[in-house]
Amino acid sequence: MTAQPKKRSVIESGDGGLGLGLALFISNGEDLGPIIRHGFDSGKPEALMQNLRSIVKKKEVEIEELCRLHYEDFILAVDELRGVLVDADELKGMLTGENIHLQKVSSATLLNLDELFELYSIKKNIGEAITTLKICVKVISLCMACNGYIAEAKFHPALKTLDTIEKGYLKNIPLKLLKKVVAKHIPLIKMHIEKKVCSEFNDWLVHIRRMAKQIGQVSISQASMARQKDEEMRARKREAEAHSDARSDEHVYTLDVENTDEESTLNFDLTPVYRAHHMHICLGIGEKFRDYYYKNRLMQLNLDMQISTSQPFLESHQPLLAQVAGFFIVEQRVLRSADGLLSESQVESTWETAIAKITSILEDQFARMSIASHLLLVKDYVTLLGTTVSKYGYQIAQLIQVIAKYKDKYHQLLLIESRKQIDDILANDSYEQMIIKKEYEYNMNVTAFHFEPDDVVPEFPYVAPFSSGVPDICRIVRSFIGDSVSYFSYSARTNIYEIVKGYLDRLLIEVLNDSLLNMVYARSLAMSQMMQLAGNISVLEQSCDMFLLYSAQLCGIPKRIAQRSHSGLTAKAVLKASQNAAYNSLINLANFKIDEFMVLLDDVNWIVEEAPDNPNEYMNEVLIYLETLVSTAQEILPLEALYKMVSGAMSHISDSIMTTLLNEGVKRFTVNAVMGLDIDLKLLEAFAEEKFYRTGLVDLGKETTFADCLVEIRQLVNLLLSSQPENFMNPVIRGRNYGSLDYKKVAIVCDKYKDFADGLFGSLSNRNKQDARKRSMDVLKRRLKDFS
Amino acid sequence: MAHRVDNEYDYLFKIVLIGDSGVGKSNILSRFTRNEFFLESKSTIGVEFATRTLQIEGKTIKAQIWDTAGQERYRAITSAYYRGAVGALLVFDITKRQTFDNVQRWLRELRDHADANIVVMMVGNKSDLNHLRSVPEEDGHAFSEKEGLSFLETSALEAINVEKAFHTVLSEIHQIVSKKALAAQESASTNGRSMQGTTINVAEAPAATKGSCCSS
Repeated sequence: MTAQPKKRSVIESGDGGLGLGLALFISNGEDLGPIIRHGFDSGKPEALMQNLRSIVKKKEVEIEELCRLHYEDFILAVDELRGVLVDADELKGMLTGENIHLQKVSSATLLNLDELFELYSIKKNIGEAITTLKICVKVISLCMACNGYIAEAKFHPALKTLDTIEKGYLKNIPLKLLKKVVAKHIPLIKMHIEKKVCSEFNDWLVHIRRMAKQIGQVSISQASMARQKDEEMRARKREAEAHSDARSDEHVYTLDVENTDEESTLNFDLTPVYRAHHMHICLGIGEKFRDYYYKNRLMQLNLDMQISTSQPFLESHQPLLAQVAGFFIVEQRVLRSADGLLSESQVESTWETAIAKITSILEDQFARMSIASHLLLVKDYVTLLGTTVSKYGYQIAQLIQVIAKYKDKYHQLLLIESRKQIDDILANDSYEQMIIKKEYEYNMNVTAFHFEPDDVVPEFPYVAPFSSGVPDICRIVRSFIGDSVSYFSYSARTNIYEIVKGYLDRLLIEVLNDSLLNMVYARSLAMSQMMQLAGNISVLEQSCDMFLLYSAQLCGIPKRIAQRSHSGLTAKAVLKASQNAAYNSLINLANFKIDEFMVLLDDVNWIVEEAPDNPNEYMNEVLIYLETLVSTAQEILPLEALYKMVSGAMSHISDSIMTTLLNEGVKRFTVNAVMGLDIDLKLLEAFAEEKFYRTGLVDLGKETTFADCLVEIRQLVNLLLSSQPENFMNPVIRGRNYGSLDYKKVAIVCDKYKDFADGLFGSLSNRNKQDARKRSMDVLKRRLKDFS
Repeated sequence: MAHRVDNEYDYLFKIVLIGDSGVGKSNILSRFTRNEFFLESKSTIGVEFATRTLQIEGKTIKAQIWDTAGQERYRAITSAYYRGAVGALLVFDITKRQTFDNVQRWLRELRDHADANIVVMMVGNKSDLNHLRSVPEEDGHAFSEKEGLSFLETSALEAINVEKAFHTVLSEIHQIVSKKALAAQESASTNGRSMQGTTINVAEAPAATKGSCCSS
C-alpha cells in the first residue's frame, strides 16, 4: 500500500523520455548493464550519468519523506518489540523451572523410553533377518526337495524345482555366498540329471535291443498262425469243392466257429523313452536328444544286421529278420506315441536303409544256396517278415522283388533235385506191373492219382497197367508242384497259375521226359521191361491233365474253370512223342530179337531132295517168341501200339526171308525148299490171323491186317510153286496175284531156282509134270533177262 | 615317503597297449596317466608313451606305458617296441566284433616279438556303449579262459575299470618279479651257508640283495 503511491508520484514527475525509460527499467528490476555499455560505447556517457544522478536525487528525497512519515510508527513498534522481549524472558524463566521440575519427575520414564527405542531397532533388525532367512530357508528347502527328488530319481519334479529356484528365487537371494553356490550348482545338477536320464535311456536301449528279437518273433509267429488259418480254410474249401463235384446235388456248408482271440502282442515299455525325451525338452535340449536317439538306434540296427560269420545263414536268418522286424515295430510305436521324437521321414529313411541291406544279404545268400528247400525256408520267413512289417505301414516291394528275382534259381534247384529223384526211381524200377493186394495200397497208388475213375471198386489183387515207378514219379511231380506254389505263395500278387504251369512243363519235359528217353535209349531193358516203360509213359502222359488240375487247385483256381481252360501242358505232346519213341524202340528191340531167331535161316537146307513135313526150326522159335510177345504186350500196351509192334514184327520177318533168298549165302534152292517156306508161312499167317481177331485189333478198323504184312514173301512163294510161273509177265495176272513183287528181286531169285530134273536121280512118274513147269520157268527167266 | 623324489622307484615296468585301430588305446592311456579323455581322438602315429607311479603291496612301481598304432601301416615299426615289455593290454572294442576277432592275430604278434612270459590282459573297451554291444561278455570270458589271459571290460570315457586293469597287470608282474627276487635271495643264502665262516662272503650278501633291487 505504501509502494503504490511511490510509483504514481514517479510517473507524475514528467521528466524527459530517457529518464522515464531508465526509471521504468529500474522499477522493473531489470539489468542496466547493456544500457550503460551502450552509453559508453556510443561515446556519450555524460547524459546517462546526468540522468542517473537525477534518479538518485529523486529517490533520496522519496526515502527521506518516507522516513519522516513512518518515524513515529517505527518508534512505537520498537517499544512493542521490547515489551515482547521482556515477556519472553519471563516466559523463558518459567519454562526453565518447569523443565527442571519435569526432568526430576520423569527421568525414570525417559530411561524406559530409551530402552523402548532400542528394542524397536532390534525388532527391525530381527525382522530383516527373518525375512532374509525365510528366503534362504525357502531356497534351501527347495534345494533339499530337489536333492530328494534326485535321490529318488524323480527327475521331472527335480527339474521343476530347479526351474523354480532359478527363475523365482535366484536373483533375490540376499546372501551373496549362498547365491553364488546355488547359481554354480544349478547347471551342474542339470548336467547330472541329463547324465542320469541318458544312462537310464541307454539301459533301455540295451533292453529294447534284446527285446526286439522277441517282439519280432512273436509278431512273425502271429503272422504265421494267421497264415495257417488261411491254409486250413482254403483246404476245407477245396474239399468242399471236390465233394460237390462228385455229388452235384449235395451242397456241403460248414460253419466253423474257431476261437479267434489273438495272442496279445508283447507290451514293451517305452516309458524310459518318453521320460528321457520329456526331460531333455525340459532341459532345453530336446533336439540333442532326438538326434542322439536317431543316431544310436541307427547304429544298433546296423550292428543287428551284420551277418553272423560263425553260424550258417540257414540258422542265423530267422533271428536276424526277427530282430529287424522287432526293431521297426518299436520304431513305429515310438513314432506314433513319442510326440515328435521321430519323424515319418526318419523312420522311412531307416527302413529303406534296412530293406536295402536285407535285400543285399538275401541276394548274396540266395546266390550261394544249393538246396531248394533251404531257399524256400528263407523265402517263407522273408514273406512272414513282409507280412508282419507291412501291417505297420512299411513298404515291402523290394522283398517281393528279391523273391521274384530268384524264382528261376529256386526252380532250377528243384529241377535238379527232382531229376536226381526221378533218375533213382527209373534206375530202381523193376518195370513189372504193380500187383496191389490191399485197399490202402490201392488208395495210395491208384486213387490218389485218379488212374481209375474214383467210383470204381477194384477187385483184389489189382493188376495195374503201370509199374511201381509211376506213382512214385507222380508223387515227385506233385511235390514239385506244391513246392513251386509254396515259393510264390504270399509273395506274388499276380496270377501264379501260369507261372507254375510253365515250371511244371519244364519239369515234365526237361527232367521227366529226358530221363524217360534216356531209359528208352539206354538198351538196358528187356523186351517186357521196355513194354512196361512204354506203358508207363502212356500213363504219365495221361497224368498231365491230373497234374494241371492239381496245380490249379493249389493256385486257388476252381476246378470248373481249370477244366474249362483249353490251354494244356506242352509236356503232354512231348510225352506222347516219347511214347512213340518207346514204341519204336520196342519194335526195334523185337526185330532185333527176331533177327536172333532168323539167323537160323542160315541152317536151312535149300537143296533138300524131299518135300518137308514140318516147319523149319527158325520158324518154331519165332512163333514161340511172338506168342510171348503178343500175350505180354496185350496186357500192357494200348491197341494202337500193339498193332504197330506186331505189324512191324511181321514185316520184319517177311523182309528177313526175302533178304535171305536174295543174299549171296543162298546159291541155289529147290522146289522142295520153297515148299518148306510155304509151310512156315502158313503157320505164321495162321498165327497172325488168330491174333488179329483175338486181341480185338480188328475193331480198330485197320485196312491192313497182320497177314497183309507177309504179302511180299507170300506172293514170291506162290510164284515159285506155280505150275505156270511165266504168267508173272502177264500184266493182268501179275497185278492180281504178284502186285508186291519187284522185277529185279524176282529175276535174282528165279536164277537160283533149280529143279530136280537137273539131279542125277529123277522120278520117272513126275517127269512130265516137272517138264511143263520147267519150261514155263525157263520162259520166265528168259523174259526177265530180256526185260532187265 | 617325504624323503623320496619323483624319479625314485622300486621297479620300472614297461607295458604295451596293442589292438586294432580305433578301439580306444590312447584314451585308456590318457585316462590312466592323466585322468583325461578326448572325444575327438585322432589315430596314433607310431608310438607314444607316458608314465605313472603307483604303490603296489608297499612297493613303488613306475609304469611306463607304450601306446602303439593299431593301423596296419605302422606294424613294422611298432613291433620293435615289444622289446623289454613285461606286460601287455590287448584292447578290443565291444561294439565292433571284428576287433575282437582280430585279438587272435595280436596275440600271435605278441608271442612272435615279445617275451614269452609277458603278462597279457585282454580289455574290452567302450563298455559305456552297452546298447551297441556286438561282443557278448561271455565270449570275452570264454576266449580269455581258453588263452590263459586276464579279461576286463573297461570304459575310458567313464573311467570304469581302467585303474583296475593296470593295477591287475602290474600286481601280477610284481608277483612274478618278487618270486624271482626271492629265488635269487635263496640262492645267495645257500651260497652263504655252504661257505659259512668266511668273513668276506658275509659282507657280500647285502650287496647282492641291493644289486638285485637295482637291476630290477
